[in-house]
Amino acid sequence: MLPLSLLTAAQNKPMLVELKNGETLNGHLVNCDNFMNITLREVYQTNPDGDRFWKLKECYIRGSTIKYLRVPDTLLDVVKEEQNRARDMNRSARGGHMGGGELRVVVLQEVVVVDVVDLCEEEEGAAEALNTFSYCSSVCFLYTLSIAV
Amino acid sequence: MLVILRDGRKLHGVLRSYDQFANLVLEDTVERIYHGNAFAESWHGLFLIRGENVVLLGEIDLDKEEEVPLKQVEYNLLAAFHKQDAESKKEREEIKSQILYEQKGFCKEGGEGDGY
Repeated sequence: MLPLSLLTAAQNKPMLVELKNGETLNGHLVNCDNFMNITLREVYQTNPDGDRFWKLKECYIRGSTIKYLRVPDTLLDVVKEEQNRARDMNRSARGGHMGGGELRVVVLQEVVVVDVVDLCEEEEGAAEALNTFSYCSSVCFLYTLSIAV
Repeated sequence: MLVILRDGRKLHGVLRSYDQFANLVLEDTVERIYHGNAFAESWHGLFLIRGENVVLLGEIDLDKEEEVPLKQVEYNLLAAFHKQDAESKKEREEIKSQILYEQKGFCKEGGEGDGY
């Protein structure tokens, strides 16, 4: 999870941006790009000493003027979860090429799905001749696992 | 991890990720201020720091951390002292750069953190 992808994932979340000159901007993230340029809406701006305030409807901040951003603590969990889901989706999509049949059997248990996909990946490099065998063995393996759980 | 920024801030937190610009994601961040043999912390949470502003990034030895002979006090108590310290340091730096400029033929220094 790169810092900038975290920022991308923070869209519509409240955040505090401190600029290099010490000014801070509090608002909800509208959009951002790879230069860290960002747009915020419903912004409260303070001067570097923190004794004067302004309210802005919307503002654009050039990435290079930013010192740091403070984002909600919960964001990290949300992003992690999303990433996991995306990965699982990706994996089962790829697994489908090998033999969709057996993967569909086990959607009951996510853990098992992952194990089976791992197994399939390991066997991806195996000789073509073993393909049928490995298919069978992963089904067996899977079956054992599903009994275990 | 300990991160020191160009504005002199010292942040302690768990490094979650970084990229080629040294942009950092710090989790459970606290800012520490020091004065004399006391220090104070203020909680900041999840931080995304733009790489340019980082001076130093170092791992903290948590065993040694407990042996540090400083005592922790309330943030509010120390904040004023710390602000004073920062201001006097800034003044000193200004005088120093003025002397270097006038007497020693140095060029004029720029703004905050340019020494880095």
